[in-house]
Amino acid sequence: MRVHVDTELCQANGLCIQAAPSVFFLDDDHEVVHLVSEEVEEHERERVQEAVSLCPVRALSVEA
Amino acid sequence: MGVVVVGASLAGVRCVETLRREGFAGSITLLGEEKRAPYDRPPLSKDLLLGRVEPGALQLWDGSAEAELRLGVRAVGLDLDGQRVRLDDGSELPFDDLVVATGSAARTLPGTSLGNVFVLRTLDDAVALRAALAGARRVVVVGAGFVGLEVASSCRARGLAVTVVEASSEPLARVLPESLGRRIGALAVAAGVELACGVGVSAVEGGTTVERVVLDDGRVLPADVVVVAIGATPSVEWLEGSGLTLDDGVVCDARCVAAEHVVAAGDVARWWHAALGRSIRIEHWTNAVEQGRAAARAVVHRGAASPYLPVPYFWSDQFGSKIQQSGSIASADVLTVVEEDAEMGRFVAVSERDGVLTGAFAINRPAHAMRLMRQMKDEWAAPAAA
Repeated sequence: MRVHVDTELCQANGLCIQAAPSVFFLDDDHEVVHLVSEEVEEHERERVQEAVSLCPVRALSVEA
Repeated sequence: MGVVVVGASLAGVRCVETLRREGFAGSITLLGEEKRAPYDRPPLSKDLLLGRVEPGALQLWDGSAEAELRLGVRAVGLDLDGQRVRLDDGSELPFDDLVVATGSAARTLPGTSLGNVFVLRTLDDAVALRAALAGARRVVVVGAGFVGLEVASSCRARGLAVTVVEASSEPLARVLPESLGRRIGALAVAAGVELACGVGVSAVEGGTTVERVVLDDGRVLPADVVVVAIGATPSVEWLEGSGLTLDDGVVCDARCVAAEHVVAAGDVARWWHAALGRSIRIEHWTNAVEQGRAAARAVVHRGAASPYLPVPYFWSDQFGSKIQQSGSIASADVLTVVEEDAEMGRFVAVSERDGVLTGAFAINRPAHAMRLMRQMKDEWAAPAAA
């Protein structure tokens, strides 16, 4: 599963990290969220979907 | 029959989507009082006022979850035993399960029917305020809560003179300890806002449109536009006498259940938070999403649904800073500053009770804020699971 973070929209609210901590990360040097890995494992789908619905700026999407 | 969701804003919409995701196959009716299709509110005080987004970009309802969306219809009563909602067109809508998600309504100042006096709750409010700001020079905001301060921030960004009047001694007194409210007040002042705390409004005056605000201490503030941002009250009038327990919201158990076949979510719901050990009601975006989902799970899974145990969270973007708070900072908790960099405008404080982390407050430190929130999620879940 491919997950996309729109870094133009991302405002580092960080709720995706609460929902799927092994998929998304935010470190001290970045002002936007990054993916831990480009390819996201299928068993993370439910957590990623929660992250998508929790993003207040709708910066996240799942590409099949 | 099927599920009737009253309230077509964030909690109601997320509830409908989750009902379908959890496999609910019956009919769903989503009722909205406004004629507008469901929309997202956080941009109303920020990007919409600044002209960076237009109303069409705020759509919440993509139609992917199968439901009948009925707009411009208001619920006026509930027959709990008969399992029917009464509507303002005189008709009745039967339900197997009811989701109460009617949100809250902006408080107003008595006697302020003058032109160019606004509240900011709906998209129509925001569009009307934006139009008025285009011809304004001086704005008075009554109330230094998050909505008031975000409006003040947007007005400053538009180059307008802004005074914020707050009855409490510090901004955000209802939601934050004084020392943190004072810090946010300093951000507003640094951005050029006149902040008048500890003083009430005695009159809002003008001809057909507003011209001035008179304060308790005799000060007179000229104003082309006044925004009243003094909080919201849960929209429960339609439930009075229904048999549901109302006490600053619809009173629910730990699973958001208000009565057999009735759940509630969002601003309107007061539920028993089993990890905090008290009943709370939250008027923030994140809670509307999470509680909408929790209420849906309570409908589908009944008593097998998990108790709703969120770590409360809110954010605010104002005066170029990002403010984030997670957890619940009670006045009796011990507050400690754990990071401060005045030059970078960064600040983090935590609250603790008996050595347990209860809350985290951060300005411009999202990564740190998220680590602390994560810690609370883990710690709060542990005793509940045991």
